[in-house]
Amino acid sequence: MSELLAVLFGVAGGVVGGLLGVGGGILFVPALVIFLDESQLGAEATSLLAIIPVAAVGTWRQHRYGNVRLDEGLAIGVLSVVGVAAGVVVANTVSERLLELLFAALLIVVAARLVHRALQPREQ
Amino acid sequence: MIVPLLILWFGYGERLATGTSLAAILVIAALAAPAQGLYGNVDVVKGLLVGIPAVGGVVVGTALQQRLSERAVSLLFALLLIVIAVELIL
Repeated sequence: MSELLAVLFGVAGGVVGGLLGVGGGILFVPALVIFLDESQLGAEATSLLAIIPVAAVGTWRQHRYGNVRLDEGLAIGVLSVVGVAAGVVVANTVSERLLELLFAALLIVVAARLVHRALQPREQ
Repeated sequence: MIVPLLILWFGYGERLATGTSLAAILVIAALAAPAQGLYGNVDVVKGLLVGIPAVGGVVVGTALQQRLSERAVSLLFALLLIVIAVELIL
């Protein structure tokens, strides 16, 4: 039963991933923790593996739809990996709770800007 | 965070931003998953149990996106960010 729920969360994570251009980890991680008895760390690491086929097939589909700038995507990916390595150093010098709150604030600001921009008149 | 970065700072349209973001995520996951695997943190069977069905989901999700306006994609993305922010605060 819990395996079936994990599969359903996997499908749902894939739909969100394809729809919004994310990996699907937002649903993979809770599925791994709740239904497959993974620790938080193990779930986050394991979700990276689940993201590989999602991102590969998602990129392929979006490429077919004409929605991928492959060179820029690959460059951003490599730069992100460098950024993550630098972020780990910073993260170890600040309290985890402060980081959570700062990141939450950043997300809210970005969400507000997306909404503001989406509600502007534009040519489609 | 790649999608809003591409939209707000690089002037990408929503569809182009989400498609290009998936290519970037592929690089990140393909490098990070083996690195985590070396530390023994990756459970391959559980990862595939979630990841293989997700491939069906992503085909549906990308097809669904082509039927939505770019504005709707932006608003849905903003909703996703708010959900994550609330999760972080709680």
